[in-house]
Amino acid sequence: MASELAPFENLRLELRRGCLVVAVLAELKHERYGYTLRTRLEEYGISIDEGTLYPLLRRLEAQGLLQSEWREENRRKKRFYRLTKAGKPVLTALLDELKELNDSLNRIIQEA
Amino acid sequence: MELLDRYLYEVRRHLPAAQQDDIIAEISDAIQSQFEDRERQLGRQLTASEEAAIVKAFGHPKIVASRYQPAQYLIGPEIYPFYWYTLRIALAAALALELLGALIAALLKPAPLPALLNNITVMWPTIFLVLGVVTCIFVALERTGSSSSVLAKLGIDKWNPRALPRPTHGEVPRFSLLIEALANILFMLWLLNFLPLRHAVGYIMTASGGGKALAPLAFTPAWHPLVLLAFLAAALIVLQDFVLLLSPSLTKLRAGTLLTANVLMVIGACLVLQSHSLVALTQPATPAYAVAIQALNAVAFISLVVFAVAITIAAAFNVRTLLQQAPKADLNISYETRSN
Repeated sequence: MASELAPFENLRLELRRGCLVVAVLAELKHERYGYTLRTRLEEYGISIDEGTLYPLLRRLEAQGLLQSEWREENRRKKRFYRLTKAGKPVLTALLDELKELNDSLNRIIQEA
Repeated sequence: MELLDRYLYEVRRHLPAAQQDDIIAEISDAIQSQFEDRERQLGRQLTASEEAAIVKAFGHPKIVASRYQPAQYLIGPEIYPFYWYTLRIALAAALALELLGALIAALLKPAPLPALLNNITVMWPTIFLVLGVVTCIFVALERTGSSSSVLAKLGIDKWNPRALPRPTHGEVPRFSLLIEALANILFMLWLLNFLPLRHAVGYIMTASGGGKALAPLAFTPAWHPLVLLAFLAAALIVLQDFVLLLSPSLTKLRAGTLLTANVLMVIGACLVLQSHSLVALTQPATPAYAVAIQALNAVAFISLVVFAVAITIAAAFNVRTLLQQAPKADLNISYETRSN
């Protein structure tokens, strides 16, 4: 059974990779720190492990789509992320792309 | 907490130096937040094993750290095919040069064959040197800039679909045909007892022997049918090579000729095998040679049987080629691309 699902697992990872970026960018229209971002995504049904999330945040920051700031909260320093000015149009374009892709997929699935 | 410190220390060791503090602070906060969440749920302090479970779920230190590394590839998938291609060409060229050098150096020695074998065995360092140099160059290319810019740098993005070779349908390259013809002509000259060739072979095989026999032994006339038929087979193959040089698509003619040559060789081998006296003394000699003759006859007999079996297998492949359907005309592949 596990071996039958092995290709599915790989394909699922590939399928999710791009969607995760969109979810993270969209969720960071409001400032959040890593841990709350992760729990919020989980509440929406998108679970992402930290080993993936934090490097992703860092990459998006390096690309100028996110900005971060260390601030103290509950007696501990936490790193807060938010979408940058440059990130906003990128997110809008990505959402448009995702919607088109989704519509196309729906048409294909219905006709198939 | 001590557990967390140990974990963070281990992750830190594998992180890029410039970002270590920043990344560790963030990971530390992430794990501590999980600890606190869990403590709130349970309403008590976590036990050591509960903490360990959370830390373990975060991932193996090396893997966690590796996700922060910018370059995960030594040589990326984009340029890997070009790496492999370059490596093969460089290795072939270096080995060919070495072999040529070894051959020339060996011919200048009094005992060429042992010298050549010795020269060939010292070619190993060359293989590793070429492997190392080509790999280093490609790793450097991978590290400097994105793979697409590397492809541009190498000029690979300028490829032209019109310059691609036409598909071959089992055609033999002209160069191979030429080599085959040359080898068979040399073989025929050797069979004809063309003296300069015999002397050259003898010179290489026996140092300065110049074709001088090492022992008073000779092949018996029992071999004559095979020599005659082998000569005929070689002549047929050479003839076929020249026809195919003019029109390489005659693959059936080639398979037919090779099959005929195979049959001639097998018939020749079977005729020789009728006789049990394959090697004989050329002059009366010591009794020790009489024992040697028996052994040599046995070796020659077994070798001929193996030879005949091998040729029969080759013949089977040629029969298969002859029976194969002609390849279909090029597939009509058409596709459209849409902008969205």
